[in-house]
Amino acid sequence: MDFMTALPTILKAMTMGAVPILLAALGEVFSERAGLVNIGLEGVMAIGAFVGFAVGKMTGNLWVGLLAGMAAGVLVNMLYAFCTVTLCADQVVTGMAINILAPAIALFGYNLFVGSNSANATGAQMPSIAIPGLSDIPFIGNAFFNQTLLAYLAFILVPLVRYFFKHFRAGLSFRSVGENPHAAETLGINVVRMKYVACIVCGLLTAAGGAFLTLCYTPIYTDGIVMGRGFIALATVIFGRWTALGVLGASLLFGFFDGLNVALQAQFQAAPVMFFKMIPYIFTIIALIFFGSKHAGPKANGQPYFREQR
Amino acid sequence: MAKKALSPEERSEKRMMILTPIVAVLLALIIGAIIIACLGKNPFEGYAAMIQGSLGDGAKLSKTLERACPLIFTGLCAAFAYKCGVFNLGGEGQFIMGGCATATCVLGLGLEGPAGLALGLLAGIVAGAIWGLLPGIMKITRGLNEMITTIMLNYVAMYFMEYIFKNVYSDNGLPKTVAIPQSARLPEVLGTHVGVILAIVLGIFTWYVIFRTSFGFKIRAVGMNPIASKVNGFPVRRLVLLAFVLSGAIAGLGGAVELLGKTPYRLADGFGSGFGFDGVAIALIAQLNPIAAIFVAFFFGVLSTGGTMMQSVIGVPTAIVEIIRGLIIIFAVAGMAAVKLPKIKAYVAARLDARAKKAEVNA
Amino acid sequence: MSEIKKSLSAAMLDRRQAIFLGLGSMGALALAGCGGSGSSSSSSDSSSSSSSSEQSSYKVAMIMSGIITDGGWDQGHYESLKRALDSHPKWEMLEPKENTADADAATAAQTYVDQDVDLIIGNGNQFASDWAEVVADAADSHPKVHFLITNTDPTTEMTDYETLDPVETVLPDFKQTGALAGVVAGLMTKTKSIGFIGGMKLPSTLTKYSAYLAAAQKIDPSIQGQYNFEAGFTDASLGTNLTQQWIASNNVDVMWGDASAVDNGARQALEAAGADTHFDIAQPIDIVGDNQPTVVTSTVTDWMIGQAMDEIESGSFGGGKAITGNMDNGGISLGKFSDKVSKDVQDKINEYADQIKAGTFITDDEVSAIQKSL
Repeated sequence: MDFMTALPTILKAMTMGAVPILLAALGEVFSERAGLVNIGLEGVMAIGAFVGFAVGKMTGNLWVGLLAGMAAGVLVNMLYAFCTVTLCADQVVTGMAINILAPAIALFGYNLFVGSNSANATGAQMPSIAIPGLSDIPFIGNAFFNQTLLAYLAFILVPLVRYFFKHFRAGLSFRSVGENPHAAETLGINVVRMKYVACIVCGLLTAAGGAFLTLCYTPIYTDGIVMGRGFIALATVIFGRWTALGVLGASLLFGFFDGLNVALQAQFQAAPVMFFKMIPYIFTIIALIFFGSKHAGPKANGQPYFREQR
Repeated sequence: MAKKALSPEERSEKRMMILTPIVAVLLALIIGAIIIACLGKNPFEGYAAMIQGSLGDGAKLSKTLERACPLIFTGLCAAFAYKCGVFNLGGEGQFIMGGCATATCVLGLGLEGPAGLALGLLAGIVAGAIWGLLPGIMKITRGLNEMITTIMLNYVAMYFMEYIFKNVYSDNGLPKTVAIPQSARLPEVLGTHVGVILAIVLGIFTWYVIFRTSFGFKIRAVGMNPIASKVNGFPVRRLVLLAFVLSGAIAGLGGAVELLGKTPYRLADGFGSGFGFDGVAIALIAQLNPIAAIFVAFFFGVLSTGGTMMQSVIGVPTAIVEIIRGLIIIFAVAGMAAVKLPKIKAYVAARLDARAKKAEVNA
Repeated sequence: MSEIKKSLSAAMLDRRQAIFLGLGSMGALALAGCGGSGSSSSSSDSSSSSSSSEQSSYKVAMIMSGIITDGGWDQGHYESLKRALDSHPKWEMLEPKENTADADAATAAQTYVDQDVDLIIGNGNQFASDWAEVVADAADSHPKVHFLITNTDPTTEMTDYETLDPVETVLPDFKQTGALAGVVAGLMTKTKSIGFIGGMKLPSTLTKYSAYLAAAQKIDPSIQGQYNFEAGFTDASLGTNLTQQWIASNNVDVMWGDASAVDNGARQALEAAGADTHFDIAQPIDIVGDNQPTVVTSTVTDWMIGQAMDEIESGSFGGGKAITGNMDNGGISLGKFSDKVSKDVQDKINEYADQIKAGTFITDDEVSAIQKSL
């Protein structure tokens, strides 16, 4: 394989593939910073992808589709919030249940929406906007500066989230909720409300990541379109050490390895390509082994919070 | 161990914990019925078809048991790990690797007869255990969250299985392995393969190990409070690692049984798909009780086989059965958490008090 | 420590009761199983006497792994079924069974057997190995039920079957399909580089690609082919990335897809590279005009369900025969052309298509030479 010829396309696949993971992972950063491990990203993304697709198709306006998808994502994630925050249910199992329920709802909706009318099966796509000048840079130009608006927004979100957690009072409160909710409560922070807010933000961003798949990547919805990206997003949060910049780096790296997988598949056609397909997942494990840390991460992450308990 | 009479509060909490999953199932079925009715179909006819299609006669029942069999294994896998505080979400990968090892053993070595069967099962156990050991090592040496690593390993296992059935033991170039020879398959008893009985026995055995042996006691202690266990001199790291290995072995055995016991006796696309996550749900609805897990897994089997029947008889989308299943899990988890909430507990206690007082007054 | 012990032992009390309960009901279930299986086999024999030729109405059901609007495999089957129903007024379709997981494939067939459906169609050879038991049982207890499994070679893929009496398969002549696509690709490509994405490495997939490349090379021996046979049927983004990579590295300008949703992704990449110079050939349904700027034509497969219905009505269905679909009987055809295909090229394609139909365009040796090299 001529690696240099393949590289620009790998980089293009990297930035495209990174966006949905980045959005979901940023959502998960909010969630985990508030002490909620949401393993249901996969399901929320599926809902976002389907509702974004269906509403975008119905209204003919993809941005309305995106907003509707995000709203649906929040709705589903509220189910998670209610179970884990109000009822203090096990976060992992609730997330798993979302992963079973939400794609089923999306598929059911798809059945109703498309039915036997295959004209409804293909939607529209957001156009790519090439930034003049920058998009002509060799190798990286097309990859980074010829994207859909939603992708640009996702990347712009990274410094904003970083700034929020570093310098905003609300961001600091978030972190204290995830580190030590009881101490946060004594400081006058409404822990329960904070956790709900985290779930709303998480639902919004994760569903936007899902909607990216149907509005910017491919014009169709299929059952299983998320393809484990929600789980990858979970891994990138750990790999990125719960920071916006870290998550950006991790999702770009994952995108790169996924692009490499496709490039290898494209060029070594007679090889057993399933080994190429393993690359992104094995890479994630190796990355975690080398860079994942025992001690990083919010201390009260994953634990239920009983207000009465002291 | 000394026994102690249960206080009324404890007894009522127990009753609530058994009642909650049942209420969850009923609620989910009611919502399912509403959806079906909204589609203009008859939900009662649908549910009748579901029961008829899964339990209607002996052949159906045995199919349902065979459908539930792998779920019993993955459910036990999850329950055992969780008892030790290990969130093993890799049941699917361990199940698949078990199947791969069994296929390799039987087809690769050309084994037939009971030797093939026995070695096949053993290979499945070992492969599952190894696939469980990997995230265990990553957890105790590097502190990696096992939820992530086990899920990643599920994907690796899935693609590895593709390699096995497409490139190594492919049947005439088709994307499936050649069938396991007749003589190496699990024998049939009462219309189902013997693996179902194996699964049930394993469930009871797991229950015994967890609740009646000192090893099980240590496992539970680590799961409840690893720091206190460490203070008490338990080898916490070794116990955690063992929990990974044993739960992986259970899932791996499940994969071996599925391959050796159930038509088409081949690895192919979709083998084990979704069983791992179903197992997690089963374990949690069963409140980590291995014996209860058998029943919950059976119920999931009924939903699968009966759901297919319902779907075809009244003509509703397959997704409805999935929605019902998801709702059952949500309701059960939420309900059981709610029962444990201090507020609810206090309310129940107050009710009990009032009733006791009333009884006194009446007396 | 003692705290833990106390709470554990308290929690254990009811478990013992649970185990007895559990064993008891398991035993009861097993007993019910024994009793049930005896009665079921005797009760179902009664329906066997009616002769199929006197029937006035028939039922047909279709079982698929995907959905009827997947834009590919299952939609192609569904549309074939609807065409057959239009010409067979005695037949009535039951709700198709979509999204059939591997583990439920046998159960799905069984549910239609129980309803005495006259024809059960399985979309693809993944059902062949799952249905061996169901077919064996149904052959005894439900003689009215017939099975049609598509894309399956009964001589090699049904060796598990005890009986093939109620079974037939459909085996389209995929050399013709591939050759048709290859002719279009060979005449449309400017860069002499064509690509193919298959969802699964089936024998039929390999045949299609080999004939595709052989036919294109017949038109211009310098044409190069790129292929992927493992793309699956759902991951559209893989189709996009793969096609992008081929466009960039290999200058591919014509794609032919055999992977349902993944084909959609490939079209996406072709469109991004310029729909005036990059073309797609669709399969297995005709989608030219459906808002698909890159699609120039489609290779259409009809699954010959009407013929199976005729055979059931006349009582000649079964015995493990394979129904062949080809250009003579309408099983394989080329769809509409888009305006990207000039009149000259259309005439040429039609001329070559007649040669393909007659079997004179490419030889089997040319196809198998390529197939061996894969």
